[in-house]
Amino acid sequence: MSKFIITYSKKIGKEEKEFETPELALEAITEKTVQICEEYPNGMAVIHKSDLEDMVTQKKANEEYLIEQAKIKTEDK
Amino acid sequence: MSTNFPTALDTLTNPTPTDYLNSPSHAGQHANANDAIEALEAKLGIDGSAVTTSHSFLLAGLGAGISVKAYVDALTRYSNLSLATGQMINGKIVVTVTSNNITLALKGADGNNPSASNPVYCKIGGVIRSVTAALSVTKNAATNWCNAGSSELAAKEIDYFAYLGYNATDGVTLGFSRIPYACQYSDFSTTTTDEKYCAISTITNAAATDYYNVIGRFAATLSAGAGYTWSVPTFTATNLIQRPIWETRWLYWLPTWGGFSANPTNVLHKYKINSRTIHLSIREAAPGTSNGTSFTESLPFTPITETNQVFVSFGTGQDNSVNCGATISASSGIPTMNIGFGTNNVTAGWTASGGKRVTGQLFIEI
Repeated sequence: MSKFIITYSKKIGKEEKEFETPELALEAITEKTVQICEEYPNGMAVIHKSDLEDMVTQKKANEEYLIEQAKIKTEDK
Repeated sequence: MSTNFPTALDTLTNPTPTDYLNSPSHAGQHANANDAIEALEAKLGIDGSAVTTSHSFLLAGLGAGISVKAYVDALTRYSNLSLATGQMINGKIVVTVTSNNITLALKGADGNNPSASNPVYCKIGGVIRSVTAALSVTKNAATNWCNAGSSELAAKEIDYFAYLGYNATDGVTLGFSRIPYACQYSDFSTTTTDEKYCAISTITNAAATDYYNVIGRFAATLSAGAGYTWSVPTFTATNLIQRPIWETRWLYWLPTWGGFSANPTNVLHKYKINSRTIHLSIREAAPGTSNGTSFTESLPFTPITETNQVFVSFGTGQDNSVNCGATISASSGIPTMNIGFGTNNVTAGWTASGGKRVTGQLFIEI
């Protein structure tokens, strides 16, 4: 499962915090955020706030898709 | 006191030269130091540790001489580049066949597997993602993969599109399919023998909206019958493309005819897929022998399923060995081309004897 690493600017240096879900990472973005990084099983990506928003939207769309598929299967029976 | 590390830092008592051995306890001092050393060893981990919280495990992918900072700096640098979707940096596809089984692998430009010191970058769904571990997909012989072993296509070279996809749980995935237009996982069929199937490295957690983008194209052939063995040609600049591409070359198919006791000969049936459109070119130089009033030919790809949809064009033909005009059409969701005599826009009107053939072009949405 991906984890999200947000880097915050500090008076001296930087501070990193890890989040397990895009929702939590999205909530944790502040004006001190300088970088959002996603780490997944075989690599990493530097992402943006809009990418996190897309992920949250996609999760909802997938859930709706699965509910729709389940309905179709039920109707087929 | 046992050690508090790694959840908290220890505060260890240092004995002074005048302390007695029982205060602080000499044995206790050793026990505390030993506990702390063991906790440190556990946190660092042994070589090749499988403990996911150990530093040895967490840093394993980086390789000798690669720091986390250097890796993230490179990633940040590349993330600012303006890559086109599906475009790679330091990446290429390699296709091989071993024991009749096909493998599509993502490799670094040097031909070695991706790693932290040899990362492949690719823009998938608008994000530049890195791949730092070996990534490949193998499909064994003995299955009619993508319907490529059908009577229309068996033993004929087919162009397959290589895709990189992304899923939050599985990471970056690699796949290949006959269709070039997919943008997300749900654009593919999950049935292995379906023409829109995509052979993907990992679909354990695949979701409908997972991004998939074309990164290249390669040629391969699946044999007919139960064997369904894979083979690949000697790759050249035209049959192995290392960039995003959404069209095939002009390829060949062999239709199954309906309405004949002897099929037309000296024939040429070619098709080219361009995004969601398939162009068909049919040339039948010598007529077959008609035994029915209908005239059909099977297609290399099924037209889109859409209410009221029919694709029609006009060609030239021969009925009862006399030259004539002919309509060529295909209907929603049916992988068969209808050839109508004269103005018949369905497969009808032909003489059930004598020479019969058609020549023309048709394009269909898939």
